[in-house]
Amino acid sequence: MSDGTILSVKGLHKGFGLRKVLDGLDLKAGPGEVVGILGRNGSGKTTLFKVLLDLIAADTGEISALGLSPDGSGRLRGLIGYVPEKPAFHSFMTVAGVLAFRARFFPSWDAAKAQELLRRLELDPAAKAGALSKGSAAKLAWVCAAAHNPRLFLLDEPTSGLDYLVRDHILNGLVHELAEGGRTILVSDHRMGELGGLLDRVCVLKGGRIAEEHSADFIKAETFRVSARAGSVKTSPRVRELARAGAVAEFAVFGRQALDELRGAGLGDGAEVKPLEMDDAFRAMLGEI
Amino acid sequence: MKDLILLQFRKNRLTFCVIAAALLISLPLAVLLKPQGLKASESAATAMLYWLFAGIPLAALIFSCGAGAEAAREKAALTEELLPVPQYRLLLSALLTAFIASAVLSLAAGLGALAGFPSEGPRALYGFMLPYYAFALAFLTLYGFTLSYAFANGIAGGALAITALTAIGTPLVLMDAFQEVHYKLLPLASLKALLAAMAIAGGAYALKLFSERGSRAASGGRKLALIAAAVLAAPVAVTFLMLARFNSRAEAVIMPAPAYTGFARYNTFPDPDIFNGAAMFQRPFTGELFLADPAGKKTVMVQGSTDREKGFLYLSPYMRPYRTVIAAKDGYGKAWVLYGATAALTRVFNGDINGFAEYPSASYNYGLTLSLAKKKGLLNFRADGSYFADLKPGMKDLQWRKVGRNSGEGARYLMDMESQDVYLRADRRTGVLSYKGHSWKLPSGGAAVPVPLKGSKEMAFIVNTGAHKPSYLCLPGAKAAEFAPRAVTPDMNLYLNPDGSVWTSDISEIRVTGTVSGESIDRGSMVQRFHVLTSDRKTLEVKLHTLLAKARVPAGSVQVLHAEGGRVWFNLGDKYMASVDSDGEGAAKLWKFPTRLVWRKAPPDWSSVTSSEKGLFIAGADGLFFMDWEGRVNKIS
Repeated sequence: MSDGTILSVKGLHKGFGLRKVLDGLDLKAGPGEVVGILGRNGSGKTTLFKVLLDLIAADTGEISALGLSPDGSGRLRGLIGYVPEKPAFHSFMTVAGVLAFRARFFPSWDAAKAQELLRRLELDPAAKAGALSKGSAAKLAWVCAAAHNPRLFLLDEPTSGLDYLVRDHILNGLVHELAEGGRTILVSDHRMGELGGLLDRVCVLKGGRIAEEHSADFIKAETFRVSARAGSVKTSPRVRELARAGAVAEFAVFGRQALDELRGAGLGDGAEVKPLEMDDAFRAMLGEI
Repeated sequence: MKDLILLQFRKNRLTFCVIAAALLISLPLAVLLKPQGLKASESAATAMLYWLFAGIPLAALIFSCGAGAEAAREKAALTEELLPVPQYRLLLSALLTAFIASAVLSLAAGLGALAGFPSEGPRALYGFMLPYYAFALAFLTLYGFTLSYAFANGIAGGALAITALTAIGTPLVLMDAFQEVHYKLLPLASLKALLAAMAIAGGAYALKLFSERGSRAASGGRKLALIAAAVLAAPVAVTFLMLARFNSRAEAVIMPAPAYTGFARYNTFPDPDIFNGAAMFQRPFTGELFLADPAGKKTVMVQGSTDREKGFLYLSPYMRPYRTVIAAKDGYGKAWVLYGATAALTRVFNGDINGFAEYPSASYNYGLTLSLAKKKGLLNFRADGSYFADLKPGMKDLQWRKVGRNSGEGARYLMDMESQDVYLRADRRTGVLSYKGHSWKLPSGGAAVPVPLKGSKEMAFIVNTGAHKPSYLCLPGAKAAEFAPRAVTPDMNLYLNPDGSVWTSDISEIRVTGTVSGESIDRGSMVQRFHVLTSDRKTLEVKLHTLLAKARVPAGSVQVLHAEGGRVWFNLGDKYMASVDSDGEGAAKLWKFPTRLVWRKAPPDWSSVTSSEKGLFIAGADGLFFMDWEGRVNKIS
């Protein structure tokens, strides 16, 4: 891309029958950027990834990923590292067999890197793919996604169902390393809070489009948790109620200006202002109270 | 693609191995459990035939429908669709793997069946069936896979594939049948090839459309599905349109009307040249019946009807089918012809090339026999007994009189008329045949049955002494001599030509080597040996093998047409006329037929050619031709 953009999506529409899943979605990601895609179940995250992978076609819209557009040829999949929510492999293959098989289809496959990842993730090359635990299957999916050195990663719930140690291993190890290496990553995860330290930007997918978008720095530095008497604070898109206990309510406030405006309007006695936890920020963005 | 095919095979290895093992195990089982009357090799080959025509098509459906349904599942999407190859190529690899598996099993079963039945007959049958079988297998695999993928359901896909194949196959079989009843149709072979190509290409294209609908269709997945369904249904629709078109354009061709002489049991062998050098023809569609001579003179006995019913899939050929004709010559040099217009109505004609008179038609039911022995007449078997009517030129009506209370007594009436002068005494070792002062001592006895030969000469006989014993020729003034190494009967294997020659043949297999017209021949082949009695009562024996190899005509599809001056004329497989010296094939002459035959059958059964004393009438796609014994051709019609 001439402006250095790795991924550009404009006006993307995709429906299944009468149901519109993506409805004019716009999205951009630059080199080395880690973008979190936040959305409720069925909001279209997986559909977006499948469209980007050229697995299903958009109804309308423009897509450019790594200089290519989806054309049904599958070339795009050769340039993208994809970790699905539920990885699946041919059960009769061994772990080494899975990698050897994939190596035949990815011209940029790095066998040494695959071996290194196997070692780091403590995967047995002789193990049957059909007998892998959920965590091991997820690790193998990571190896498959990373071993051909893609510049763009799509991670669809990459830690779903994994225990803490595996999640930590993947998130703090692999994702961090990829991000450090300048790879562009789009990630959707229900535990987005755990990715907080890695994200550059968070987009909220709602109603088939990116309804809200914030940088990670903004969420860390300019979102606040305000405890005040219920009724003393007027909610708005920048001021969202998080919880209520008796006469006291808690609010998520997006932006220092919004906080100043609340203060100017008078928060009342006993009001308390604290930095907002990232998980709570995401909950507020999703409207989960 | 190779990696994908290997992957697909690995996925379906167990299914393939189980079916292949079952095929292999069926060989020793077939030998162990062989039915009585079959050799072990034949029993094994029969098992392979069952595999070919039932087991392997079913296996093809299992392979293809299983692979198609599996390709539509989510797991396949997660394991294979993430590879950087087009979805269509993934599907093609699964489809090809299913086809290769079926083809490998077919080849194994086919070779097994060929090994068990090594003779040329089954081989020719296999050769004939191979294109149909290959198409059916490819069709079942392609449509089974495509439809199973489209519905994500192997059983539904398989059932629909079978339905589609039946829908295409039925009209094709009907069209083939039309050809069999002598219709001059469009070039069916080319159209069938085109249809097969269309079905295969259409199925592959539909799979591509379905794959786009399933994975990366632009808007309008339903539209794509509809287009794919239309593409799949197109061969079926085209087949039926072809059938309808053929039906409306079907044109009757001329074909010889086989003149059954009715000699088989009750009449003596009649005067062979019933029509004095002419031959009788008919157009099955119109019902026209006429006599034509070598010069092209034509006498119509039954006018053809031009009326035809219109309508989609109206199976007109069967409405006015091939007619039964019985003809014989009377003592006045004219022919009597019984023409079966319908099963219950027989028309009676008497005449020659200069014209025919028709006698009042009546409903005679089945069982009308023409007798030209001592009494010329018609014998009719009816529910209340057997009736006989004399035939005399110029008579106004048929006068029936009862000659027996049942069909047995009617048959006896004819036999008493025809065989009263023949006496045969035989025991197990010897026999004596007596006829009007002549007496022949037979070298072997047994169940002797004399076949009378009259022709234009004094009465002679061929006497059978048992099914697997020689038949003997008893000529007036000569000793009984072997005619053929086995029994011969006019019902089965003894044929009379219009020139008066009588012949039979037997077939054996040999290795053929030699040179014919400078061309070296060396191949395993059948030899057909002909035993001919000429009209002037000389016996000839001719073997054909190098000529058969050169003309690429299988033994058994050769017919003796004429015998004269030590030479014998043959119809080689409805392709060539040949004349061969009884001394050998070296001086053989070969003439190609001047026209392609619309309806070809291995002579001497019914065919599109018929001979007269002067030459051969050939009814082909380009008209009716006459070829004389020197190969000169005259187009008659």
